[in-house]
Amino acid sequence: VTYLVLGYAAGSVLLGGYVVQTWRTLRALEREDRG
Amino acid sequence: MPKLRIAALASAVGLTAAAYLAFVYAPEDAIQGPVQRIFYLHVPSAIAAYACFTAVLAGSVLFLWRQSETADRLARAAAPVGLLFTSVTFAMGTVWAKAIWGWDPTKPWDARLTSTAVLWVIYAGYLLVRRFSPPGRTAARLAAIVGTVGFIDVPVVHFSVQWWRTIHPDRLVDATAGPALPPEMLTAFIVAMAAVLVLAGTMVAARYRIEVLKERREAEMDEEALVALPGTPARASR
Repeated sequence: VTYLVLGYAAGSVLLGGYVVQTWRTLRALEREDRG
Repeated sequence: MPKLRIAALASAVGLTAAAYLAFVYAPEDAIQGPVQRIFYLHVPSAIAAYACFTAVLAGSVLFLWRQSETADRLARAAAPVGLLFTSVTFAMGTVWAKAIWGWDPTKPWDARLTSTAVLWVIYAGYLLVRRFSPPGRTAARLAAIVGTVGFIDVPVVHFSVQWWRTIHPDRLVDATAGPALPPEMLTAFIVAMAAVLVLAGTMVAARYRIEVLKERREAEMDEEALVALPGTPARASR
């Protein structure tokens, strides 16, 4: 179970981190574009 | 943006359903135990990476052939997403390998692991070329060459388990004799696969939109700089 948790933690951190960063960048650029 | 929101919502719903199927519905592997459930994100991530690199290849070839800005933008959007999914595959695979094979880097090489590491380096190189080449068409052309030639490693990664029989297990889902999985595991895998592909598509679409907005902003900045230059009355009067 430890390795299962470790594996999914690694995958989720990478995926989640990138998704959040992309979403923030997109929102900031959309806001700038409208403004 | 609304289409992207719908796609993002579909990804979230799909991933939630996939998590339920992978952790609750699918039975535990009799030999490997709970760690085998890494499979439900590890393999879909690898396939999502292949799909992204196929988009990079298509965009690169179209750019080299037709000088299409849209194709170049698609390649630029798909490359980091492909690299992300390769990183996920690699990270999860390394943990799984450690649990099952007691893998450590000093042991004899594994063909799948090595070819995947090469794939990662190729597309990290692609992003570096884009970042550090002189801006404009030169960067796009150089990157398109890397994106085209670099794709050669994708089939090498996929078939490495057959070409070199090292430690990594053979293909399970697209095995020659049909999927080597019980129906519950196959269902969980198919749902996870679909959810990860929707997520990858959404990410590429979001990156594509980012590229469009960045280009628009750069064009506006160039225009402002021109207005600021003396002796450009036509533009200054706008």
